[in-house]
Amino acid sequence: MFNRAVTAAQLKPWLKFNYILKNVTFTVRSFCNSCPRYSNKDDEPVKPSILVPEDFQAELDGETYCPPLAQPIKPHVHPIKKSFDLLGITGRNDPKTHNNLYFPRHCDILIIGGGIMGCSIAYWLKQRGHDNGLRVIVVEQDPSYTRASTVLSVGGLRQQFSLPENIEMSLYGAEFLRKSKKLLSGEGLEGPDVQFHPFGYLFLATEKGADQLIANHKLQTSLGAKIQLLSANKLKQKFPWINTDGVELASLGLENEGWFDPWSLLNGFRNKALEMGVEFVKAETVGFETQETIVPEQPGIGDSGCYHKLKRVHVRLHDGDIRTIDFSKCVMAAGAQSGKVSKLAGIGLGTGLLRNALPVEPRKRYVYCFHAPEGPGLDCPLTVDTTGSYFRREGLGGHYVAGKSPTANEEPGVANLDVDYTFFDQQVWPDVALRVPGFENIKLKSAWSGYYDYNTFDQNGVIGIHPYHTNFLFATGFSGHGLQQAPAVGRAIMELVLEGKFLTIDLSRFAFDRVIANQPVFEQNIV
Amino acid sequence: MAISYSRLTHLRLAEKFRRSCTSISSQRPVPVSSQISKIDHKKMMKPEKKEDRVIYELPKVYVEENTTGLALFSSNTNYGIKVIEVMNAIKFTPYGLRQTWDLFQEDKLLRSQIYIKERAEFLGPELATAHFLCFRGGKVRFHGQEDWITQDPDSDMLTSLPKFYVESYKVEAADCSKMTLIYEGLENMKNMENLKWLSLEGCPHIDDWCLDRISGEYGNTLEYLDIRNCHRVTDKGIASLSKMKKLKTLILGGHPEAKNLELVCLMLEDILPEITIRGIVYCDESLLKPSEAKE
Repeated sequence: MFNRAVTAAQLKPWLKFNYILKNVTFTVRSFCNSCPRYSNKDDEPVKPSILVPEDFQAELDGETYCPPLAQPIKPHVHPIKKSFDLLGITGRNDPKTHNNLYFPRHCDILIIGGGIMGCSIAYWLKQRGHDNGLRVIVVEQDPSYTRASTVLSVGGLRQQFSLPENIEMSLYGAEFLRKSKKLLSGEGLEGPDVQFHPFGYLFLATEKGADQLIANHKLQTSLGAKIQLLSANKLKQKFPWINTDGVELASLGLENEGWFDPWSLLNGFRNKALEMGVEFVKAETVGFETQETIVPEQPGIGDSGCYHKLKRVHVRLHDGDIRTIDFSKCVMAAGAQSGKVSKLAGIGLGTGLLRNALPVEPRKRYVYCFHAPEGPGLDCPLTVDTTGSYFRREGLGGHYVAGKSPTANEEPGVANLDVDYTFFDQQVWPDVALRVPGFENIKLKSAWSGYYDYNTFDQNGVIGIHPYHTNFLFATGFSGHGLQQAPAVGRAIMELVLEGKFLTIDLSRFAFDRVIANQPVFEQNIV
Repeated sequence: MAISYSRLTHLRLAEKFRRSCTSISSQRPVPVSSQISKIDHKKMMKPEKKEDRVIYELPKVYVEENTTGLALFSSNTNYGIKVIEVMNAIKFTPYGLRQTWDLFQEDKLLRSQIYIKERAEFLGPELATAHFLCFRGGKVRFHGQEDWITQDPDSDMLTSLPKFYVESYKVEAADCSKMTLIYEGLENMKNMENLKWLSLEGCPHIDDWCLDRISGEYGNTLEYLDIRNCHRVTDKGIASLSKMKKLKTLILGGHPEAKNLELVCLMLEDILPEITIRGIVYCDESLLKPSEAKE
């Protein structure tokens, strides 16, 4: 229990009045907020309803210290322009901002990152907030998405996970994609054509992994996914082009699995959000500003103290100007850069609850496109081999797309998006050619690379509110399977913001709390 | 011929199918306990409200149990956003009104075709499908019978279908042409053992997702499929029919959005061993004529 959860206040004179006021109005407030207390007797500390392990209690008893963040700055405005500002004339058609409107100075909800997660969250929030209900601003560094993970993704959709939350999110993702043309259309705006290829995912397992595959399959079918288990013989009958050496069991997705076009979904979300009134700002986040709030003493809980509330973000425009945006809540959806940007808010640089940083960092992954005239025909699903290599058909001309997650000591550097072709020759092609004899004769056509927003803790998304900065939400760290879960995550964040709790899918196990409590939630197979 | 059973027999049969119908159900029962790293703490977790999931929560700063004098006027739900939603529910512009009307119509269509579990439990999957389709203007033929069963144009009652579960009725052919079937409606046609013949000619709402559902559902048994004039079908949906290994006849035509139809059909013919595709013209006849005239 927090006995000294907040630092002692150094009462500044302009805050002292508030403190005195709260003392004077104590009797009235206590009637309104709690049972009236007429004595100063020491109340017993309130026992927590959950039992905290002893070695963790010591950590909780420590103070949570929020390090000093950005200094408050007042943006410099020319005095003549300032007087016109008051009249409301200038500020429009400002060529410095991305969308040529006056630079927004405040908003209700700020979303950092305009990739698929950010746009999905903006869409869901604004859909309930309509035109003037909620003011939502998305801060995106690069609106052409040259280095964004979303558009460089292979675009898979599968329900073959081992965690029920992941399965439910993907099921909803499939449902949303089916209705996306209608939902993301508007007046004068045609909905996106996501180009879903319904060919399924095929996971191959050796003897060691067969038990896990069976357990996963049971969970997936109980939640409504349609997955079929195939023995090695049945697999050979169904897909004659496959080499079943070493394969004990396979699981094939029959419905709602395949791949789609991430760029059109991103554009669909973004255009619909723009139509509903979300403001997209082209800027880079460089700092946060906090405001000290007095937390009054509550008997039995703790002394009075000072809580640093995140109030304002500093963003740098492309010409170097630094502007500020006040917000009420902030959502971190910056993808691969989320760990770095969260540090600007003090997450990872303080003590107590702010000691743990967001464990999300960029990891580079390669995708190779080759032509194989003797490859499998139309019914090639996205096949994930026992070695971790995957491949799928691309188009109708005999092209295929393949890749592999490297092992821990082979991780490529993330400074740029250059492709390493030796990785294909040494790692990907041997695995893929062994599994499909038709891939022995291929010609590599092209390749690209992209970043995973890799969660180094347990490779699953971080979705929820930070325990100290209660107006700071996370929606990041999906480590390669975020695209298919974006509609569900957007809806979950909308529920958290507007209702305070999850209504449809319970994602409380994916909260940031698990990083502090050191309780990883692992998924068994990662592509 | 309507066969009537005693009440006890009816209950016994309903129970039997209640169990068989939950094989792939649309509801989500209790999930199996999922993977969490095992840390050995004594007395670690709080008693479960939910099923097997272990939830670890950090303690809250402000305790929520308050007995307040003014609690009568407070609530946990956030009504502010609901007020905004009610105010902005219908936009009174021409586009907004049309959008609201379309939403109502879609909702009505969905509610008329949603999967009803009790119907499948009571009648068994085959007869439930038959009732569902015939009531909405489709036709059904059972295995071993020659006549198609349709609805009388005059009445709502389906006199030629049994109203209780009969084991010998197995649906072999379903004619859904020109019905307004949607994706959620196709869920009513699941768990059939041996559907060989399916016609979806002229159904306006059939698209790639519906074809995905059909090929996932009847991938092992379907032999004849007719999807003429389904305007939303693209070549990706037709390519997904490659999952149906026993398909013998496929009838196409009238797909304005299918771009590479001939190529997809050629590739389908490579993969599916017994297929014949009707409705596709692979080469242009007029190009052949001048050379024949010369010779």
